[in-house]
Amino acid sequence: MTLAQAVKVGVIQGRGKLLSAAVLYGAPLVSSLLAVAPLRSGLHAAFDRYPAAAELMNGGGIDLLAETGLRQPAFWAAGFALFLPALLLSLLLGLWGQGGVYAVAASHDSADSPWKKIWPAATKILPRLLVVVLLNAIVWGVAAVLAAIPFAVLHARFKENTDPGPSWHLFIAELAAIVILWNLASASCGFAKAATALRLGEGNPAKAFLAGLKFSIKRFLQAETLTWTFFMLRAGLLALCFAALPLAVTLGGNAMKWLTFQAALFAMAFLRVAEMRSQVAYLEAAQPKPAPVESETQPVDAEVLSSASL
Amino acid sequence: MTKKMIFTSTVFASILATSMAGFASSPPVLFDPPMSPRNANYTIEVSLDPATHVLKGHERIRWRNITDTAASDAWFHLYLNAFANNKSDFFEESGGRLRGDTADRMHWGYCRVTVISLVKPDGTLAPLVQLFPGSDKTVMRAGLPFQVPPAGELLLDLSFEDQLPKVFARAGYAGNFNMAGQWFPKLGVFQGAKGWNCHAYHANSEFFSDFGVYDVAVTVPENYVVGSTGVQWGPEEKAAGRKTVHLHAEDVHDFAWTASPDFLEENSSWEGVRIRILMQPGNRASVQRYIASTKEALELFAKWIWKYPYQQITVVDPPANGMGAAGMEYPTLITAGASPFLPRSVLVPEMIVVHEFGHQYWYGMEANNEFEEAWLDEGINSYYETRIMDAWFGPQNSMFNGLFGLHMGDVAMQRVQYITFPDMDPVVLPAWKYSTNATYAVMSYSKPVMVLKTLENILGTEKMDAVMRAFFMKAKFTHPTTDDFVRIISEAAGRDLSPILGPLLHGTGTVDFKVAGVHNKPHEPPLGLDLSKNPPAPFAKEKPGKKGTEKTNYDSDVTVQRKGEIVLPVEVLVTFADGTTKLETWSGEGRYTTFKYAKRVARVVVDPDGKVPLDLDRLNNGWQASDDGAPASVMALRFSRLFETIYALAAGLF
Repeated sequence: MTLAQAVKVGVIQGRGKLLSAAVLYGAPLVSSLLAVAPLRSGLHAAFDRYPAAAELMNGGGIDLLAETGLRQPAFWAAGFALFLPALLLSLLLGLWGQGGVYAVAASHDSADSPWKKIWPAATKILPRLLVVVLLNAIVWGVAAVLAAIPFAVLHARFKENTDPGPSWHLFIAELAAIVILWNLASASCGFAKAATALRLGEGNPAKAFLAGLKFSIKRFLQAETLTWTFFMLRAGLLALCFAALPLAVTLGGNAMKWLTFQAALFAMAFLRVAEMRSQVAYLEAAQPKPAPVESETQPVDAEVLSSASL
Repeated sequence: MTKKMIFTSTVFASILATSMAGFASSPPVLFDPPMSPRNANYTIEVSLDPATHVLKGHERIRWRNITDTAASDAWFHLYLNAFANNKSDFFEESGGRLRGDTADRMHWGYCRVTVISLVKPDGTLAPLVQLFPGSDKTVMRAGLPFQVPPAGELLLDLSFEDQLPKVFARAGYAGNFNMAGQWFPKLGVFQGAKGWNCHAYHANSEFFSDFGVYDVAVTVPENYVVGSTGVQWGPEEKAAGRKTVHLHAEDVHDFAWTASPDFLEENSSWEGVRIRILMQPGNRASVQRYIASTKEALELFAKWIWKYPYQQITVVDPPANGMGAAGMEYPTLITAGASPFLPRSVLVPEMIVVHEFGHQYWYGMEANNEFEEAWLDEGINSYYETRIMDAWFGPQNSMFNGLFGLHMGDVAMQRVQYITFPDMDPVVLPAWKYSTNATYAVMSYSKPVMVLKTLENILGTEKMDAVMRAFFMKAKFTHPTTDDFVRIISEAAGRDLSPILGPLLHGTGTVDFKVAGVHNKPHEPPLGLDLSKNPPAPFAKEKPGKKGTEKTNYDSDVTVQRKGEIVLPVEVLVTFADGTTKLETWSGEGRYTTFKYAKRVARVVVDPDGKVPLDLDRLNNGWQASDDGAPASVMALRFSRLFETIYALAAGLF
């Protein structure tokens, strides 16, 4: 299977794409609603009684916010009290949702509807995905440190030099290295999650991680292209959303803006699902075909994952 | 007294030509007649070693005593000695950190006078003894074998060596960028009976010196581009891979120069003034921002104060590793600060150029004592910075011009800084006596902006421009004090402004207007007997208000309180339930005032136009009958979008 065919599978074929997108989209939505609740209360308590707060509507009043923080030292602390817990929740919910999406993508069992399949599958696969993500963070963290060493040496060498030529080239080289490494780490993690869903390594997350890493290095160009393309599409969509929407100065206008933003996030989630499904299809197609089955029936996989594991 | 020699200006005139013979000849005459007293004149030859960043220099100082008291010694600033070790006043006070920069403790700097001599009438030199009266060696004193009488002149000859430090706090080097600021032995200011005003270099303080003419010959490697105070004249003299550049400035009180092989030069002009920009190649994208800012400042200062009289303004863009040199003023040379990654909507580069250019007026020509009354240049100049930025971009956008849809004005930015430390120190205080570096900044920059903005609102902008112009025209090329300022602007305003400015500049009082209470009571008709009638009779029955209106139905009152010690007039806008409004004015006398109405009050805003930016708490300036949750809801929606973007990243949506 070529990369283009895999992308076609990811974008067009299979069931449950909208459901998968909704699951991915829901994680940041739930987290942000939770996190903003105390801030919303604090803002109402601080500003509802005072006419001066009207200038917050038109994008001004930054100084009012600063003043409020100065006068009420607990204002921002209380307002942001749930920011970090919600961040953690978002991480876990996101990973949980990804597990479901990968599992649905890896499943060839058309009997169950994606709606029934996605929730138990997400829960089942979550511990293994956690291990995969941790391994990924450790390995790529170390790789980033190792990659930073030559740049640190070069920085020290150019520190005394104001000639912008070498510094500029160094900056571009650093940027390129960051993009390539980040993409590779992202692709490796994605393929490792796909491998977990496909039960490569028979449920051992370390083996699944290695399978993903090996695959993304072996097919470096394809992995980079896939990851970079989808990332740029999503980032572009979000940037377009931010750039295209003018400052709203009324409550209704801001509500419309929020809704438009939600639509953009949902579209991003859809693109993310397409990428994940493409990863699964591409990885699965690259696996050696199983030996022909003889008379006896294959044991049924107790998990709700794909029975077509390789 | 017999051994002491008395030098008169007549005697000196005769020896001057001889004593200057060794220096380059025929610099141009820029201003005839002179604009300033020109009593401290320097002729300097200096050579830069690009490898070690050592400057070897030789200077002749011609100083004239313009006071009515004889001078028996000469005091010098050796500013670079502040960077010689961590025991200087500067280091002790700053802890090696200032203006967002940290000193490199491996690369120190110094200014060492190798020889100081008196030039005798016959042209021979008589060495003088160097004394260091301060706790560090940033001040040097040389006793004279004679007294310099009023109007008498003194000619001194010095050889010196500077080691530029790594750029920290304005001057130094970064790679092959060299910023020579406060680099030569410079005379203090002789103040007659009070003696020499020559303070040590403190962390917070800047500088103070007399006006004069500078002729400076700078020798650098041939491929270096030199920028400086004043103008370059004559051809560059090239020999053995090095070149000597002749520089000349008149009616200035300092001289700075910079040299680097990396500078890209851009030139522009405004009404005969050459704008010379020396850019770092990596930051060339910012050059148009610098040029536009300089032109805007030139134009508005010409309109509001006086046309920039010098032939040239040089704007220097320091490299990224030399940002300690950024945002600094010298006569006819300023350093800017920008990054190619800074969004266009963040107007910091414009603000820096406008601010530093403004110092050509408030510091450059109006040369106050920055050690003792820093606010006179920093504060007034910051006020003009906000005026120009506001005129250019609008008062709501003059700092953040639509950054992610948000905007903020320069005055609002200054106000946030002011309300952080509004009352720890007075504005007028020697720079090293402020309780912290932060209060020095607030009292020298931010609070004066609030004070002058409030004064502008009291007088009206047109009158304010007139009084500030009057102050500048009277104070230019002198050393004005705070008292001079208050006196001159009071004369120009036609009223004594000291009751307003005195407490604001010399005290730590604050002001905070507050809506203390609003009461809407249904009107109670009079009951009982009306004693105005004879015999007393029951009151006549009042007609009820028109149906559907609230006329005469309420006895309402609005109480406005003044917290803090500063008395200022303020406006109060009262909006009634029927939609009508009334603008009241309160003198601010007393602690509170109450306004009474016969209508139901729906909304009260004290200082609706923000005419008293000194007000410490703007939120308590208002009251409304019913809560308005829209602003908070809008902010919550905006934060929600921000949070959701971050959480989408965490959840793997990217």
